[in-house]
Amino acid sequence: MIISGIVVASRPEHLSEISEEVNALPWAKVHFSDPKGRLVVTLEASDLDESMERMEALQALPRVLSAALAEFCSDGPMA
Amino acid sequence: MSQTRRDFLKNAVATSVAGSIGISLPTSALAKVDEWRDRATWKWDKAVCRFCGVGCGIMMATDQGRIVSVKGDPESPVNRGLNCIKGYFNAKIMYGEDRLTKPLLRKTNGVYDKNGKFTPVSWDEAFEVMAAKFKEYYAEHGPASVSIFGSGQYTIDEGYAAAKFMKAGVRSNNIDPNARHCMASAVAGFIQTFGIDEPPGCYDDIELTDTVVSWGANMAECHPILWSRVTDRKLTHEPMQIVNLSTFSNRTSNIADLELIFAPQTDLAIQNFIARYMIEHGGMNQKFIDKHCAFATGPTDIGYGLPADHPLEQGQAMRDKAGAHWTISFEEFKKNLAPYTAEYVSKLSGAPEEKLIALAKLYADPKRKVLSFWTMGFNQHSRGTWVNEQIYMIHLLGGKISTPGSGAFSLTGQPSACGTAREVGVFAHRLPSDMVVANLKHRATTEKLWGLPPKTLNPKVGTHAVQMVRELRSGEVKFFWAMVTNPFQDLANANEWIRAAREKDNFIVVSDCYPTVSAKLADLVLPVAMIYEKWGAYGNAERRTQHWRQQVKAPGDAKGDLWQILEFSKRFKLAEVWSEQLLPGLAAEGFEDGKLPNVLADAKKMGYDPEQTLYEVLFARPEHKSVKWPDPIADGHPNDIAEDFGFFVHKALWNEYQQFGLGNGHDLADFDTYHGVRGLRWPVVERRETRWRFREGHDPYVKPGQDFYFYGKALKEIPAGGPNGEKVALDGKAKIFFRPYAPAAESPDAEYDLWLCTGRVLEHWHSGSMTKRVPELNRAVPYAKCYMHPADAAARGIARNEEVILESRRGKVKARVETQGRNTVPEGLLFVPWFDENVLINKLTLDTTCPISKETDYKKYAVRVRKI
Repeated sequence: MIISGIVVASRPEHLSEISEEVNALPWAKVHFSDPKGRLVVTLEASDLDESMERMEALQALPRVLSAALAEFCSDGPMA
Repeated sequence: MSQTRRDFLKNAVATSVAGSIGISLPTSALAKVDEWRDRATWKWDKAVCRFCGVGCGIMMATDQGRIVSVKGDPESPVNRGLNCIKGYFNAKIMYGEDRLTKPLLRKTNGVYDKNGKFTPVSWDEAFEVMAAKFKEYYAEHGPASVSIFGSGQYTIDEGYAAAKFMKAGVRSNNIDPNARHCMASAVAGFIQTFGIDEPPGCYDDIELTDTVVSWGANMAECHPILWSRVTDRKLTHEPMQIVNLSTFSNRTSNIADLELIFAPQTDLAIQNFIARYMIEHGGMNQKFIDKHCAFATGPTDIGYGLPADHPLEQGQAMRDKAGAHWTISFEEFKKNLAPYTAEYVSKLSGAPEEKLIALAKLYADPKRKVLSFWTMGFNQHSRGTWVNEQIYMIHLLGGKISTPGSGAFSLTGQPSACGTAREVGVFAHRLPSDMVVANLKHRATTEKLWGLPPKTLNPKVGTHAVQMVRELRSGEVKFFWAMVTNPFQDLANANEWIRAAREKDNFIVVSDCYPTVSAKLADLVLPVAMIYEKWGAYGNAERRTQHWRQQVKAPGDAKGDLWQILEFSKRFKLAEVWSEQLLPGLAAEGFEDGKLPNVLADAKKMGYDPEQTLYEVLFARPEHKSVKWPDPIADGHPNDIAEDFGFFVHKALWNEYQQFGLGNGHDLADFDTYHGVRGLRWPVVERRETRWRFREGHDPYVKPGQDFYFYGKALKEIPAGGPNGEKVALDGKAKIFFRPYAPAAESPDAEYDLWLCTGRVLEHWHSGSMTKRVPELNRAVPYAKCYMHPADAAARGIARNEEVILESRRGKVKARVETQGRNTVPEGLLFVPWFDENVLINKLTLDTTCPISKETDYKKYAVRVRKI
């Protein structure tokens, strides 16, 4: 199990709809946001491949300007 | 993992991320952040990312001799806790299955044979054969027959040691880095314009600007962390405008307010249109220009940097003096710009007039702060120096330079193109701190700091990177040592050099971590310790020098490049190299033609013995050996190289190197200081870094009342009014160049009907030797695709994902066609990334270079596509 912390950037006026869309995904959760339009999201995946696919999916959401990986952890060593 | 633990981890990760990007949280939440990874055995330390020139800080955890976790360093002012996808895999690049762990020598029946099979050998045998081959060629053909192909990925100490070994030791200037392929035009642009290398401003400009213009770059993919800072500015600063100029539409256009797609090579014409518009529409900062600038131009018959017998070089009278330039009047400057009307430039570039005007308006607005970024679209250009000079032309005309929020910023592709290749001077013409081998005073300064007898240093410029392989082909270069780079995949017109390496009488050594294209072509492969398996330092694009400690041990017999240079230097006695040496073509004041003098008598007077080794004289002098290992700065970290040599080699070399920059605008701090900070931007004077150079109140070299002072010393005395004019001194001034548009060396025609542009993708870095070893990155982008417009594909009956043959006048390769995806190319142009050795796109490119910078144009060739 891999958990990634992702910063999603959007325009401030789209924050609430993007939050809803992200929370609707079974593997993603919005934890924090700020008035600048940034959301802190965690993403669950069974391995790194899936983690990257899911990040791409976040990036592909309409009105998402960017999704940057910020933190990353797993139960075992990553290497 | 239990649900509770999973939730706990998620909260910890989210809290940590929020902390890194500055979302304020209650302190109780922050206290829990590191709980989940506070495992007793994990040790965290700061380091620097191995990949691009942005220079992100990372934190890495080691456990039982392996790196177990990597995260963005929240304290790093560059990336503030973020990382791009490559950054996360810094730990994994060292653990590829085919890591090289033993020296490999081509042998038949137990002895070295160029046509033999790779056989594992001891380090002793490897160096013995390597030194014998070196000395065989050196004795017969002199210092011009030996070479090192270095790197902008050398750590600073490695580049310094390699340059010192070549220039001071064996008296050859044939050392040049792969940075020649990525930065040389930027360097030439800086030296010609400002008289000193590297950007005036820094990344802090992003948060202070109103406008970002990206020229010939794809920052969203290739510099994603800086791009996230640009995105942030866009979200929080209402006037912020983003412009993307490119020859095809890429991810950087996603948040751009204005996208300009232009025909390859026409950027110079667009720049001239902008300058013309600024003059006509009140965009000039007259006070700034009068006080701080001079207008200049140079010859136009300069060719394309190809060998002298190439058809394109005929009648190009100034091809050997391409960098010459002289002052002109403002009236002449204005007259030269006159043809570059919106109408003409729109027709030439294919960019609509209204878009050109919208762009020019941004630069011409006196109140607007503008920050221009560029990378390889400018630098890898047959007029690369000109196009760099012309971006400064625009910024200088408006006074938008060296000012918080306004500047022209050359991004870099390699982690230490600046810190090592440029600042140390790992080039055929350079010495440390912007000094050059052709300058008598610079040689004297260097000889003094290195403790060399006068005239030890060779005044003749050596072979630049492209020339080095051309001379491998002609047989003039016979010993070739590639370090921290993969030249036979990187060089344009690759077929030529691959043949030369295998078929000529020469000896190719490749120090590498994996069996790359270059390693497979070598006669001797030396296994290297990778980045976190050694101590080191890199310098990023904004003049920030960052050091790290060794985290883990290298596998098997792999050894750091610094270790390899020092061990090899033990095989040379002074008598062999400081005696008289043959140097065909040498003609310099104070030197007999064609020869480097014997300096052994002067060496004896200085206390040297001809039987001493280069190791003792260059690297293990008493002042070096007095720098002891162990040292408390290590904080429990190992240092295999210091253990082997018995002193703290890295720190000793740093102490020496630091002397070069003090007091002349390149000041660096002492070794220990860097281990307590997240890098410092030079010049560092009295422990304070410099964010904006040449600017009063920011740069310690600018005096009160000067406002701006462009104090770079190089090329500041130039002829006035024309090539033969009387010389004038332009003390403290920057030059505003006029340069005309010139067509590309090769354009599509009836036979080869498409443009080929090469470049990078997010997931892979450079030739892919590291990122292809990370399974996740390799699975994400397993091979290089040929991006093609759907109409071009349809016209040729080619389906998406179909494998086709790409052909140029130099060679052919196979690749799969992509008509969708992240890059949208216009009709008539193909984009193929160069990371994939199975596609090896450089078999198609030509070794055209900018005649001034000698940097290859990798972006503009004529090719055709055939169905299989």
